[in-house]
Amino acid sequence: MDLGSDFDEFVRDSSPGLLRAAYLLTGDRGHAEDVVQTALLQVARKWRRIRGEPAPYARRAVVNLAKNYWRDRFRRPPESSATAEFGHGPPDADVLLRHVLLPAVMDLPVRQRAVLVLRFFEDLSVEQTAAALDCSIGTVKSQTHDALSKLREALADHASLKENDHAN
Amino acid sequence: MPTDDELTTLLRRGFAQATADLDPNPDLVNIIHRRHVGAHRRRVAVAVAVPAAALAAGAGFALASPGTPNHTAVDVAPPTGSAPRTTPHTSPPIKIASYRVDRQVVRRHHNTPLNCPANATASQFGKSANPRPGAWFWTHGQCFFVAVGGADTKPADATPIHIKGYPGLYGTLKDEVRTIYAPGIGGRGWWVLKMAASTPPETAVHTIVPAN
Repeated sequence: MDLGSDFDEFVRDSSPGLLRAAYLLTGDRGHAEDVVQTALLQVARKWRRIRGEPAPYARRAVVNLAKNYWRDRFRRPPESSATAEFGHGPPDADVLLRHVLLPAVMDLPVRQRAVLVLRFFEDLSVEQTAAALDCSIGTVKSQTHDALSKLREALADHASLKENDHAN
Repeated sequence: MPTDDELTTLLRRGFAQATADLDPNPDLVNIIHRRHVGAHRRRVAVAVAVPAAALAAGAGFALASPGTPNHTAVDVAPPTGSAPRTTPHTSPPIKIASYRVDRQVVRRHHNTPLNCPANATASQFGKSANPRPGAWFWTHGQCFFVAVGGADTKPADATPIHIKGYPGLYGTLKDEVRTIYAPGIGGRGWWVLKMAASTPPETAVHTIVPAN
């Protein structure tokens, strides 16, 4: 029952990274916090067995819980019909990131998004990503390729829209 | 067309920007400990109650099947009038939801986040127009301002709103202003969270935490 100070240390050290990854996977801060708490509870339950190297277990729990969140999201009615429209547009320099690239990431299938987050946010290798997602190295590579292709298409669409605007 | 390297550099920058103001709850360690202890107690209670209930119902087969290794099925006599009884299960008393304002969240988010647009405003809730305590949130690529206040009563036309993990909230939506009423500790008054109608209520409730 007593988890010991090394568990506390692990929670303190790992929770910022886990929360950020969960946020990128779910796209919602509240759900990201829920996901991290539940993942850390799962870690606590298995602490004796995984205390040598708990980070991969925690990461995998976050990814799986985030996947469940997306699966459940399509099964229940939305909690709010409010749409996020507020304030003025951001400066031009960040338009690409905020209004094109990140929304395009959120539109990706959850597994492709998880691959991008693990590889380019958590800086995991292909092998580590495969272990975290419980899939083969080849799958990670193909999912990365597909995801980057879709993002490239989104950027190209944005660029052509902009050109049309200028032409008009 | 950007190369893979250019695209991944953009992605890294975007991920870093999108998560720049995210910090976990400072009390997370204690929350996990509390929830872990609670879950452990529930597991122990179930481990005791389920076999006892099965015995009480005379269902020995629930515990032993012929296929179970190292286990011999035994005929269990049907219970008589003096069947063993489990301790009466009493549900924990239902607590009425109450909240307190998470001052750390409000303090941490009181200044406009750096990654908000420079000209972000919060209409009538903006600090420049009408200084009042509140918090800025940067989420879904948008900036929101939530003003925090209190009231003795909630309006009669406030309707229940349902947000996961936040029972007992009421809300109104008038003149493009969304107001959420959260019961105060011990039923004394209400916390009032005001925001623009376009602000997701899930964002606003980050300023309060359950008090019980």
